[in-house]
Amino acid sequence: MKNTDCLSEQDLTLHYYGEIPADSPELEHLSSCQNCLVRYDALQKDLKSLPVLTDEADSAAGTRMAARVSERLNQRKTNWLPILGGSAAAAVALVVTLAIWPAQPNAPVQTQPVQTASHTMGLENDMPDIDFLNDLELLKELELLRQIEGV
Amino acid sequence: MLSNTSAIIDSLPWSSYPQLMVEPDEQLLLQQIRNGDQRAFERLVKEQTGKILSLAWRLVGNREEAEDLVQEAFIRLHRALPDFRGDSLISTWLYRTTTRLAIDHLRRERLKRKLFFFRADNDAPDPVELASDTRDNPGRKYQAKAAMAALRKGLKKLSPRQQVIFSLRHHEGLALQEIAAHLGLETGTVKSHLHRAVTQLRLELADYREDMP
Repeated sequence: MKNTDCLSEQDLTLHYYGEIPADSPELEHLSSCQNCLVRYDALQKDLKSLPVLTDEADSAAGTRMAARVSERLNQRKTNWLPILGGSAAAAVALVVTLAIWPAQPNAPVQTQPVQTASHTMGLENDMPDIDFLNDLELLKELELLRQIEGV
Repeated sequence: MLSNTSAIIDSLPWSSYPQLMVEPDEQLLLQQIRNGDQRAFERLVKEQTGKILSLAWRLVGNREEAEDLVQEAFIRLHRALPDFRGDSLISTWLYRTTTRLAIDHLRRERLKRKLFFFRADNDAPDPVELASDTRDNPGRKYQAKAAMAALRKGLKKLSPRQQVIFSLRHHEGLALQEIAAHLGLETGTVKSHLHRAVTQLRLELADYREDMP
């Protein structure tokens, strides 16, 4: 007959794993209750029959793991290089663009003197013509002088 | 594989660990690592791998997946070392991180199974494989392998947290209070999970016990 003081399944499990203090009322009850003892024995039998997991790392596992971790850490470092390289190239491109950008509005101003210069150069090229015209004037004056002398 | 594990679990701050003095040898090793000695870190990995890999293997039941978990734990350790103040042992930090990574891994595996409609029975071992190595006391070997397979199958039917709590208590022998500290749970919650895990496993293994002579 099960009474209200009987241990719950959780208490029995905790007792199996040594998680109930030895001087607790639960264990006092267990020692005197046939019903709880039978349940506890069944639980104990089941848990003791479970196989022990024997998965153990071998002695070389540490060396292999050290190599794996080092490789991964190095990969993480080298993975940053292309990103850093790309970022640096983008930064340089940006700086170059910004350096050129403000110059564009002044470009006509800069081209203006060039055009002016070319005009100047054209005038300079035309200079012989001016000289020629000047020479014609002089010739006219010379003719005038000759006529005067002739008179 | 664990390529995307890192996003899910944060590395734990050293300050969240119980106050324990770091051993002088470990302190020296840490100083060397902080000074950029890569070989010192490799030495640390070699020293800690055996215990941590065995734990991960028993928790997830697969060697390759366990190795991936342990690798991830060491990479997180490498990342966390600059902040280490010597309040706890490195092994404690690794133990906790690996346990949490294992729970996370088991959750993902379970989700994958649900998404792709895999049944748990698909993981049942091949009966031919079970009976393959029978040179020495074939009956007992077969029984041992069958018992192990039944346990693995039963463990997979538990929730990831129940599975890990059961393994930490039953196979690793950790006290419930330690498990609670490792997983950041209340001791009462751990007790409840352990009880449910044991109940479920007893049910799962009942059929197997009936079949055994």
